[in-house]
Amino acid sequence: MAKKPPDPIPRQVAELPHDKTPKTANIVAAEKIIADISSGIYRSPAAALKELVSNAYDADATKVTITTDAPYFRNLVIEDNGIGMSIETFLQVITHVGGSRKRIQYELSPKYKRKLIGRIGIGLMSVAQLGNLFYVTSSVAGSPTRFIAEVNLEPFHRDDAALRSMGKLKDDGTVQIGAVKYVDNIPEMEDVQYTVITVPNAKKGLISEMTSQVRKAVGAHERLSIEDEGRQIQKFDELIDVVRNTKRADLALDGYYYMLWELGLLCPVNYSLKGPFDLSGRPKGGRSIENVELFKKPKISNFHVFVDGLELKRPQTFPNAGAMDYPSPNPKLYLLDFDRPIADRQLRFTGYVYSQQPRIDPEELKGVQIRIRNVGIGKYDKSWLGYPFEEGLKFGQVTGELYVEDGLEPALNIDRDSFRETDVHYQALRAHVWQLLRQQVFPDFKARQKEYKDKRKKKERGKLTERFQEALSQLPAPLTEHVEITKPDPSESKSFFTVTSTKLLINKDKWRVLADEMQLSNDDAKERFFKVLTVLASNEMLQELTEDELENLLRALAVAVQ
Amino acid sequence: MSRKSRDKQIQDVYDQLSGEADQERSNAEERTSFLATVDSDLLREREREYRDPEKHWVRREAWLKAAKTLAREKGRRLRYLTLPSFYRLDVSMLLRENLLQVFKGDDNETIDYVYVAAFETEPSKYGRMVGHSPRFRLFGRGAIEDAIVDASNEYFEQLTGLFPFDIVNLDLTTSLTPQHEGPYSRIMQAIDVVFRRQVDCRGKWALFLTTRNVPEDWETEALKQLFSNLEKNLSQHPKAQQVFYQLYKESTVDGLSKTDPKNCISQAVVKWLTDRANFYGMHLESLRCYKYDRYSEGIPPYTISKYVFMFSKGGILPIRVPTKQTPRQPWMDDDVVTCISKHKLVDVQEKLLRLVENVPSAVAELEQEIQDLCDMIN
Repeated sequence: MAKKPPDPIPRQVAELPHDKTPKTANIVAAEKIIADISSGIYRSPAAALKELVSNAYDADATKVTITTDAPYFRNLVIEDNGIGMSIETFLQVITHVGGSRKRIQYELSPKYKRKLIGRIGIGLMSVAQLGNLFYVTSSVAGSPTRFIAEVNLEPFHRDDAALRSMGKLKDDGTVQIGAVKYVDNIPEMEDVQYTVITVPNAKKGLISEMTSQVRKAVGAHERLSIEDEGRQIQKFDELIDVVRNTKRADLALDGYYYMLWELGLLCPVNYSLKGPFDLSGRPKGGRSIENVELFKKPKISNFHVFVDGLELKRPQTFPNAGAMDYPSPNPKLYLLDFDRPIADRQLRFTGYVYSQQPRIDPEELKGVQIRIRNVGIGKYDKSWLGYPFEEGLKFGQVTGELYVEDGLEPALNIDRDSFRETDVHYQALRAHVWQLLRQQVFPDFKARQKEYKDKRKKKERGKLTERFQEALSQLPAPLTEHVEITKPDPSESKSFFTVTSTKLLINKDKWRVLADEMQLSNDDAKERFFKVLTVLASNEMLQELTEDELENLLRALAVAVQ
Repeated sequence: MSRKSRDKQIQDVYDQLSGEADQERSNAEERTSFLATVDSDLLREREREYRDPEKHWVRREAWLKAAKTLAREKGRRLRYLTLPSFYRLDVSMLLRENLLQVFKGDDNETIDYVYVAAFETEPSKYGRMVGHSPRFRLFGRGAIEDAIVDASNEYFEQLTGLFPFDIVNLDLTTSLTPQHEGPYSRIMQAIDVVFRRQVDCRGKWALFLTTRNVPEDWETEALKQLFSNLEKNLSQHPKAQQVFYQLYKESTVDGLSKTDPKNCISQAVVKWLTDRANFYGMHLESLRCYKYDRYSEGIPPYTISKYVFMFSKGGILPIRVPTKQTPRQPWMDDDVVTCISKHKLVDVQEKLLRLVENVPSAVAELEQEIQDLCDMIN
């Protein structure tokens, strides 16, 4: 065993210089980090495209058109009719990645006064996920020109060797991550405005993802596939219908259609006509959604996104087809409404939690999605922001959306697709949601389920009684009121029962003895016992028996109904 | 599927994914850069083209008429290969006249796409055009000549599958043999391939060709070869010699190249095209030629030449077995004469001036029509 070293002897400390003011040092990012950011920080093509759509929304566009050159995916084009950019603005944004000004709270777009949602610099960098070389052209209304710029982000994120060759860190702490060539002053009509991003030579990895090459190579077969004419769609609603009736969207859709579906979830667009709550397919007299009348469907005005001619819609539609006639309590909505300052910043959000039985389909819609100003942030969080209780199967039977109007934006990570969990707004939002789940949704779920079961049981019993009555009526002396346990007349105190014209009067004392002895305290067994007895009496089979015979019969009967 | 073929599929995926390294390399080396080689002034200049009344007059008087003839003779709508530029005026014009084959959507009313194959080299312009409707059967980004010639081009297979077309419209903005490309330019190779692929076309088909005719632009060796080829034909065909003299008042190509170099180049080009058509067994049915000068800010004026060729399959006499040389057919001699006698370049500017004398609003009408066609895109 190693010997513990002796404690160090305190040394005499030399007198240190006394500075009146703290010293400062700059924080600089490693080149590789900047390069990593530019090479693509988005988990999926849809997440990257969403950023460009957000930029268009901020630019007061009314229409965004994404063209993918499907099923080849050789070129991707994102066009919007927003206010456009001058070459100066563009150069400022593209040459200073991450340097775009911090969003001022409540900042609005110039024309439609939309609350801004994107970050232009970061959004443009999202293109790098699609292809490392891309073109931007833009025209501002009132200007007789446009520009065309070619942005090349190679070779800056190929490997470390390439990075080392990319030049020194500049004095101002910035680092070169790409090159821009441009031609400006190209004639254009003065009354047009647009921004068009063209990505030629889309990355092989992207094409592989869109065409599901890897999945196909291992034998997967999706219901919708852009490469197969017989498995394509003409309207976005068809896509919604396919997914609504499937367990997992990613099994039903190839990469391209999945991208469309996911883009619908993320973009600031309206729900489909049917969504998010649709009972049109329910059977006659079927179920309803409790509280649905309290839900106000958020509306996006003057903004449409088209991908290859299909207009995107938010695809959530509940209940699922399987839940329309499932024997369970009606689906129910719980609404959220939060509006208060947290750490001197306003946090305002509304939303809903929806519960149904059986489980929510598809799998991708289980959990909760947070939308900031109508833009979906990431996928649905199946853990409900890390909900700290085990709720069993019920956890898969709830879904929800939170519409954040103010606050929370600082909690967004740089990918704008996930949150920094230590942010106070995120914490507050979590608290509110968890409280609703813990105190209302799940307890209510259990209570309603029990109530439903009891009601159902009662209803079934009622039906059974009716049928029993009907069967009895076919017998020679039907007892319409069945059985009653009474204190007998002293004259009949020895008989187990007395038969009247309508019912069987059971001797209470005798019954107590028999019930104790034969353990007939169970309600179900007791009911069965009396029913058999009623049948026998209605068929006049008891009246002729001796006391002994009757007792034997009753004992045998008591055992039989156990 | 057997395990072996599944393994092969997986291997193909790995290979395909590995192709991304090539993309990165070509980006790093700027091989894919459009702006690396572009002339900024020319790029700006190209934006103005659609406003030319002269060009639109040719569209209406030459292209449209040829298309109507073809559609009438074929008894059906046409399949069209073109370089449409942003406002795709040619396509809109033919579409408006119901001359193009269209494919309708599920509602059987809206046009889903139109049987047009088109290309645009300028990436941002491509980006702005790709969302226009109705869609084209194929709309490629890049040079049409690459898509026609280069088997590794991303559009090669798809475009090859769309041949034959009823009209091939090569509305070029350069000369046929730009100096940097060597004598046998990429576009000349592409034209040759077009003839080869058009062999299966039933009945007539048309080739619309537009070139910039500035003698200094041309590759000198190419011109030498084209001139010498024409000279050889003149010496072999007395009738051709005769019409050549009647037309140009020169008895040799050399003479014409000195007195009227632009006309000489144009004639040599027409002759070369006729030769290539003949090589693939196609007969020159008719030829119309047009020219106009373009005056642009910042660059010297230049001449645009436009040709409308109509070809059909020529008959073959079974008297000679083809070897290296194309067996001469009697109609080929006629074609030599036709390609000279019909090479009368209509001066569009002059034509318009005369037109305006009779109809003062003629140019305004052309401009209005351009505007109307511009408005057809959305």
